[in-house]
Amino acid sequence: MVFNTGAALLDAIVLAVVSKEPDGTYGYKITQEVRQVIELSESTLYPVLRRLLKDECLEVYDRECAGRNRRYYRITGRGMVQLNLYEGEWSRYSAKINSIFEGGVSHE
Amino acid sequence: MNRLEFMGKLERLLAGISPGEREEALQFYNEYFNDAGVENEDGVIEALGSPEAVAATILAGLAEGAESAGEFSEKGFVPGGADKGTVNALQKTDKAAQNAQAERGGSAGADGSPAAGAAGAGKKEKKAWGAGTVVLVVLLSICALPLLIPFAMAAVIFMLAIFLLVFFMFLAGALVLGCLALVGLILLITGFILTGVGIAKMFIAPFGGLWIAGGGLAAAGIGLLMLVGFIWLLIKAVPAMIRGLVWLCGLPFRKKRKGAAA
Repeated sequence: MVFNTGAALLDAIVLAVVSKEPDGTYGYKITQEVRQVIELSESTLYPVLRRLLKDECLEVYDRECAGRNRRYYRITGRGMVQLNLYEGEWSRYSAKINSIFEGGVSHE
Repeated sequence: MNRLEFMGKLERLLAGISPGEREEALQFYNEYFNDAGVENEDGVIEALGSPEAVAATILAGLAEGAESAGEFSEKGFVPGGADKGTVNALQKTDKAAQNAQAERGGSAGADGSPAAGAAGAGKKEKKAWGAGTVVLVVLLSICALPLLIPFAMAAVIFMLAIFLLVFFMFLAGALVLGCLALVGLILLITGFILTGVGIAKMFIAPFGGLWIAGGGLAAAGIGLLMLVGFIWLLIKAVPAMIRGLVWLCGLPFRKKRKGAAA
């Protein structure tokens, strides 16, 4: 991709992906879903998840699956607040960029 | 390189971090391999790159929060030093996002992740410094022990001496007071007796008897005065002295408490 995905946008995308699953989802699945929209290096997700856990935007629980434990990530109330902030910020930001691209610049 | 080799190397590369963090990271990548399936093992290893790259990303994630630590983007980890333009732009974006959050006045905006990360790092640093100081103080105390023990002993002996001195002073005071009372009593009694004897003698030798009776009355007066003085001292001075003694005994404890409060 030509454009960089900053830390905040990456957080927002991961929060959005996790929030789609009420019961939470697991690391491999999150990585694959994020990789469908941005070119994410596979080793990048772990630090992002860790950061979101530390900030209490996500929580983990272990679920037995096919005879072994799997760690599930679930969004917290705080994570939802953060995600709403990101989404509002993104819609304002993308609207501004779009307005420049589509020619209707002057709001002054 | 197969999965086992990859994970083994990753574990060795993460030997320097805390066991909890190491376990978390290794568990994550183990599950990652599990969920990708055996048939995708080579693909995952290729996509992850080298164990060194994965370890570097994990370590960078742990060091996150420091201004120079760089950031994560879809290209992976962007070090703070390299590609300054991108990082600056990213930081500006973050700052703008934070400002926007602040404008909205939501307290939820306070947990903008970069700021929270930095605050966390600052707290950790402070904590580490505190532990260092404690260790230093303990070490200094141990080193000063040969000096402290005689000093403490001297202090205890000094306190004991002061206490004994005060005790004996009180004893002496009590003795003096007792003597005063006794002398007063004796003078009073002798005075009355002399007065009686003087009055009796007056019939035989009026002048001598009068003189003896006068002396006796004077002695009784002085004795009465001394007794009254003794009683007055007993009432007024003794409680004050006891209060003083109590205060003196409480002095070391009070001092300690003051020191503890400060």
